[in-house]
Amino acid sequence: MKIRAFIVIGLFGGLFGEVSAQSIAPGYLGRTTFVEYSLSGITPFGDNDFLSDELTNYRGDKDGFAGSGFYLRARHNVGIYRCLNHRTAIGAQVSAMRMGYRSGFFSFADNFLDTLGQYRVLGAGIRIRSYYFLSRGNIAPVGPYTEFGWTMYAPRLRPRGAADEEPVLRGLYSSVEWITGYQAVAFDRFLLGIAVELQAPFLNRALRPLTVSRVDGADGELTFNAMRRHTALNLRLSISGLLF
Amino acid sequence: MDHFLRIKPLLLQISSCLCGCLLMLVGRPGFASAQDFDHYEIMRSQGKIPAELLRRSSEKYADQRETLARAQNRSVRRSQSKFLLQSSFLIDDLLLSGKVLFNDPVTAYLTQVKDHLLRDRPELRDEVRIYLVRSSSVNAFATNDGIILFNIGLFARLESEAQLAYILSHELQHYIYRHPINRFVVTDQIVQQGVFDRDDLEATLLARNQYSRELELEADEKGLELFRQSGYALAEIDGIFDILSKAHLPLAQVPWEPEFFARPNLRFPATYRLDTVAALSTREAEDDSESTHPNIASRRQRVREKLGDVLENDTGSRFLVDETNFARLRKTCRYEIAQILLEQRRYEAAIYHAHLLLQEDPGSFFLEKTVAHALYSLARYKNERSFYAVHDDYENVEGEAQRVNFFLEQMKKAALNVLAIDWCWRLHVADPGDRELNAMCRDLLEDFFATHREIAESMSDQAVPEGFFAPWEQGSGERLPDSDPTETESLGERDARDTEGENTPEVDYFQHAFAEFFDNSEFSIAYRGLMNAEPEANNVEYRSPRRRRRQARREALRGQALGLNKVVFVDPMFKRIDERKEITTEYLASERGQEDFLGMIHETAEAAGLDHDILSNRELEVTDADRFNDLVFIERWIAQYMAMWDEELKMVNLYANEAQAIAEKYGSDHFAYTGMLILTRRKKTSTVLGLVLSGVLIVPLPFVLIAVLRPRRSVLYLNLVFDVEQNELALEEGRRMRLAPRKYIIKSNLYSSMHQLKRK
Repeated sequence: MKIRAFIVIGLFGGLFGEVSAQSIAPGYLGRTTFVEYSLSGITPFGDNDFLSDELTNYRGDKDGFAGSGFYLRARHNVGIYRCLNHRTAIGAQVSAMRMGYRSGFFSFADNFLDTLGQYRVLGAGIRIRSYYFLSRGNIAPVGPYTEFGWTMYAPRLRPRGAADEEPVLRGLYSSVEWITGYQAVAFDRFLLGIAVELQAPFLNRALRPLTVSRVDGADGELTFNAMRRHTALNLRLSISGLLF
Repeated sequence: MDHFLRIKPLLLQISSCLCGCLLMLVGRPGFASAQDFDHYEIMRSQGKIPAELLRRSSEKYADQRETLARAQNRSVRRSQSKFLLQSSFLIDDLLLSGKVLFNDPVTAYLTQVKDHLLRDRPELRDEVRIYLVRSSSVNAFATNDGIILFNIGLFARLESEAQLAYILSHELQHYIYRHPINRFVVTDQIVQQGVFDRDDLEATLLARNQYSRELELEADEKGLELFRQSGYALAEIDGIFDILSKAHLPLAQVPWEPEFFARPNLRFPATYRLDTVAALSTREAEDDSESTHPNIASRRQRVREKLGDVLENDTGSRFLVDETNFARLRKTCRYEIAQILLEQRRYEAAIYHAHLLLQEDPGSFFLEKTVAHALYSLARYKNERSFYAVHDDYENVEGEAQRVNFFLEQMKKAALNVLAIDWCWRLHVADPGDRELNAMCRDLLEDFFATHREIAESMSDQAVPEGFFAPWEQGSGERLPDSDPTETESLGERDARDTEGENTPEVDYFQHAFAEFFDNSEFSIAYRGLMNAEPEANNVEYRSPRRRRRQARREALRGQALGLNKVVFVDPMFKRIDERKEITTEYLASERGQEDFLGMIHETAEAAGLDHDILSNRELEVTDADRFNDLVFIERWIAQYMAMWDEELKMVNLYANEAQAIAEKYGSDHFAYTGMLILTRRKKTSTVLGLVLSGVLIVPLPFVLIAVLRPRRSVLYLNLVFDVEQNELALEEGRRMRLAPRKYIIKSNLYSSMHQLKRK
């Protein structure tokens, strides 16, 4: 893993260094740094359970199995980006996602009746965004872009009604992401974006193997595979504030 | 940039032309004293800017549409509306292009003659406005809304005020009888009809031309009626047709010999002398079936028939308004043409033209400087092996001017370099303060050492020994082989072939050319300095022009930091073009867009903290004639710079002195030419194929539908920043984006430019 991390960071780091040394970042009206909040909508690929509506009233917390609150089943991302030059921005991002977990099918649930527990994932990663790769000519951070990212996720599964207890399943996995989308400016201060996101998570056993818990059927690998199918292709909406 | 060239085809359609006349011999009585023209200054617009130049084209279009007759059928109204839209904008483009002068002495004189012609028709007199066009072509034309545009090239050839009056009479008829719009509508209808009857396309075009010729003859005849009431001499009209038939020739035929350049220490081989010159041709009776104008012979004949016996009893005058002024103004136009020829890079023609004018004004500094500019440019092009890009083959030239072209074609490049130094240094000594001449001398000397070092080192500082030139003047020396290009040879290869084996240091006829200059300490120091300097290492890796341009573009994309305090934006351009429409330029949207674009330039410059000024016709007031002139001269500087862009030659600009004066006035050496072009294009064939394919395979249908419904748009952004002090392009930015032209995209590009200009 050290070697892999070194390669990834070295590759990204080297690229940034080279680009920033050569170029000048104009940004949008001088603002080169922006904070972005985005929502990656989970798409219904995989088990039949996910062919339901994207929106559900299920909150998945210990008291909320029958909750009626509005809940968007999606991953929330908050990132900070800085434009290095006309074409490139780099950034860091943290993500959070939670949803129900149903044991019988080793997968995630829409239907609270079948829900066994709450599945939470926290992630952090780095990104490089190119405003040149697909559409040459536009200037960062405006217009079409392509983004590559590497994120480390920490999933936790807690049984139903036992949120304070030790997770029954946990581990680490990393994911490589490719995003392509478009960013437009609103009121000279905000960026509105829409994008398609492809994720390719891979299990890092060497980092921290999943713990198979006492919960029946909560098999770590099967859960991971379900998760992988679940997040393979997402629609991503974003809003950013141009800072300075 | 060159508005006139772009709109010329349409102007030809919407306008009418006239002209003609035998050239007045140079040196005729009535010329002002030569002293006035020794240090001639290029004509400028003066006084208040006419309000019509500042009014929006869209407003003029709206006003003119109101006047359209309602009774016309729909198709005719459509054609009329199309004409008014295009003519309103294109004529304004021309009026504001810097090629048109206002309130100058020639325009004032033209207006006086027009007022005399219309002295009994006060309403018409006030309606018609006249402007002078800075063009060497022998032409004048009238527009539909009462503007007569009169070319300098035509005025320069007139023999009398009576001829001028007849030309104006002719043009007035075009306006009175609404010929421009009628011609457009009728030809538009004919063409539309022809589109449906494709088999008869040729007949359609002939019918269109036939109608146009009829209008010209009508203007000749009706113009004659007005002219006869004016008191001018009728006999003068015939001369106009002589002018027209010789419009392709120089002003006069005055013998030219290589002795024009000769000096005590510099004479030329006999082989440079052309023994006989080609006979002059006239364009009197050319086939006019494919022309919009009748041939000159038939027009001449028609007018003669109309005049009949009246000529014999005619008591009209050649001059009624001001004879002295006419001669002086015509001479002004002739001087102006010398500069125009240099602008057009017709250097040999400029030398011959200056030769003609020097007959009357020997020693005129302006004319000698014209020759200096021409020699400097030709020498630089020849050294850079680009001579044939600006040279006219002597076989394509008629009359005495042919000798100039032959002489320069025969000269080896080292010899031409020596001749140019000789001529320029002599003028530099006469006016050491002239920056252009300083720069030209420096360039030529540096070029001489860089290109012909061994020859340069062998130049003698001794006066020419007696009989030194005899071998060359007696005809020895080899005449260069015929340098006609072969079928497969490029201009550059032809240049290379002509200069093979030239750099051998041998005693040549120009060996003593600089002898007298070595007594001048400035020349001596400069020359010996170059001689003692180490030759420039020639170990730079060769890169093709294409590769160099690509690298420059790459560097521009990376961004630069010019660290400027102030930049002047020169006539920022914003255009929308939709290739799918019949009238591809979206005039109204472009005008609105340009106003927004100027606002965005101000906004982004302020955001970047960049002090700036915008020289744009859209921001001028009536009292801003000085700013208008500044804009004109900076645009000419840029046009000259860009003309040499193809050959990648860094040469002294024809307008260097003017540009530097403007730079001092605005407190910035940097002038930005910024523009945005929004281009909407037709769908590709592949899109249609995709639609057909998706009929079979449903899956790609959504993507194909998006492609079909979404316009195929590109945004082209260009920002060129010129440093007029250093004579270089300081920043070159160009982007093509396949994006909708949103404001934030435009602002983003503009800010990027401002950022690079400001950042240290």
